[in-house]
Amino acid sequence: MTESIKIENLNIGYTSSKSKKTVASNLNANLNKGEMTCLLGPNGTGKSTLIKSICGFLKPISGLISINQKNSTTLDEKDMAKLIAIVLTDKLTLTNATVYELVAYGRSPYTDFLGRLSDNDKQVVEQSIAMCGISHKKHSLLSALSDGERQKATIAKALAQDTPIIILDEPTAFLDLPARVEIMQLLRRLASDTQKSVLMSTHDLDLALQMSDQLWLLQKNALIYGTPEDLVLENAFQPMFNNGSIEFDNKTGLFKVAYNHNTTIAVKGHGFKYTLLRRALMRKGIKPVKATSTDNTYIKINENSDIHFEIWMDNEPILKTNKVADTIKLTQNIIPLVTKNEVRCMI
Amino acid sequence: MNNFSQSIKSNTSINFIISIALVIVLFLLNLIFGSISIPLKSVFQVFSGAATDNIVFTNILLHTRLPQALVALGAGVALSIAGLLMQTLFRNPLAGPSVLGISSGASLGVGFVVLVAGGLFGFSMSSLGIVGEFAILIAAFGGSLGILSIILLIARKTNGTLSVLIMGVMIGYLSSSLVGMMKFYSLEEDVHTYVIWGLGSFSRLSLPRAQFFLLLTLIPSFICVFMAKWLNLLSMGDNYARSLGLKIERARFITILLSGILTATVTAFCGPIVFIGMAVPHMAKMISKTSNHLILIINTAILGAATALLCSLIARLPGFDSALPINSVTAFIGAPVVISVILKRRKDNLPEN
Repeated sequence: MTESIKIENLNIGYTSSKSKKTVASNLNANLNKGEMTCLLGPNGTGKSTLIKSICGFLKPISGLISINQKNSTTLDEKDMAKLIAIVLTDKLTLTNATVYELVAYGRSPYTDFLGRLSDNDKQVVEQSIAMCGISHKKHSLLSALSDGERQKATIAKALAQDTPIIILDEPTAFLDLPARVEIMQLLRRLASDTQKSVLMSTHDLDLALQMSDQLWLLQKNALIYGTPEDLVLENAFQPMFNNGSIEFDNKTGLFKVAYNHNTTIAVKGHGFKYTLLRRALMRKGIKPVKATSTDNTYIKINENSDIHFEIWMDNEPILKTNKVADTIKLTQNIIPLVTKNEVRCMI
Repeated sequence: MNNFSQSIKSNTSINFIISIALVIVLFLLNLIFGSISIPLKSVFQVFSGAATDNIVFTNILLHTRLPQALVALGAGVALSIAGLLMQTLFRNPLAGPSVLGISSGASLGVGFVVLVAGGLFGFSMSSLGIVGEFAILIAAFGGSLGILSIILLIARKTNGTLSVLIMGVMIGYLSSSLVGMMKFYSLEEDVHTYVIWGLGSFSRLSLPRAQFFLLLTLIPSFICVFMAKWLNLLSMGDNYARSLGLKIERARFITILLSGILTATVTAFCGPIVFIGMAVPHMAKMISKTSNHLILIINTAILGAATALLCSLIARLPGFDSALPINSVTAFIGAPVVISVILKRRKDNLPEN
């Protein structure tokens, strides 16, 4: 068996004595061993609800969650503690706790009634801290750590719990880009080195596309899962961005912000400088088009010169500059002129 | 690496030894000092059963100072542990034994017996002597256990700790308003009796009752040591605790029950003692430098005993004609501790913000 979690026809939500509030329904998915899976979905589709349901904090309204081939509703807290370790968005505020103490609490399902660590427990704690690369901070107070280090300590706690599955709710939410990449690389490595299943919810679409083995895309009435590449081929991301402000870039295989444009400018040249210029122009609502021989106003890109950009009008360069900003500024000024010319031509 | 954890361990045991020594010294000082000083030699003579020529010393020691010191010891341990349990359960540094409304329940019970019963039946409680004292004890126990069962019922019904906290505080307001009404319509001497009860005292019990009280507080306190693992998990928050295999509802129920019994016992015998339960856990956390409740509980118990003995000693310092009310002393010591903890915490947090 390669899957550690199997979800079948799952409806999740909140039930009280009077009412039932379904958050997402008809969900099917598998979580594989030794792989990192990212759970993606717009705000409000129920990522946290799904995670809570899998962890056993919420009873599913209907459907089945199998964890290592066992129906989750038959498992109590103690069984679950040996199957799933979690990292939550709640900030851990343990007064006076060191990294070592936090990670040691991860051994709770295995320690005696006073919570004392055996030699084996101590070894697991040391290993978990080392695997997360924070051995040098072992005896630091949690309150003295950076956000990234604290997140690693929490992951080490989950590792020490020695479960086949680790679930993380937005572990990268408060981190800067290098720290996010680092945490995701760490999780990837843990998944493949220890053959654990790692499921994390995230909003980092780009990082998830590049780094996860599987994606779970949560939508109102479906959970689509597969490798990121397959999902791109199936155009599965489109419903996530139905307001059209984000579009998929076929060249890079990543997402980019879509802009509306109301004017165009002719551009001669290509390459990296063109990409940058294009991005800056699009931000201002100007779309670059390929210059033809009939254009008498255009931007020229010099590939092998320090004067990167030139603006030509009526066969004369009116600007030579190495700054994108200057080019954009002048372009914005001459565009009404160009447009007027075009209108005159049409008459 | 091992040296480090060993040095932590030896630090912990040094702390234990120092604070236990402190408790013993304070206990002896409590026996020695008072309106008249008794030499240490006589103290040992009385307790070793050796013949003493001074019958006055024997009387003072056995009838006043020893019971008072024992009660202070028991009350200090019980209230401090109850406070630590509440601070951990509610994850709130301002929580204490009184947040559950249990001491308010006791006040309500006592208020009812002292203020209303007297008015209804046309006699004053203070004129009843030993029967009256017993009635107050029963009333305080009844009131606090009544509130405790309401709180436990709420804790069962709701699945959040916050609602329990709010209920406790609200019950506190309700009962103090009821007591206010009762006071308004009561005889002056009954109000006086009630006020005296409310000031708290370690000196209401005879030696046999003091020993009984000590047993009654130390047994549940000892049981709390075995809650250490649960408390460690609870301090991480409900979700983490559950994910590490803790049955939250059961742990919460037992924590409230134990803390409630400890508070109810102390309040019934000594009146509502303020601040010890809130301040001592902070001292223990500051000294222990760990989040592990196994060490925290033991340190809290020892420091609780030391603090209560110190307060009891200060209340009877030579120079005062009679003893000060214990609550005015506990607040005097407790408030600066809490303030310094809050200030220190702010200072510690500054660099990282």
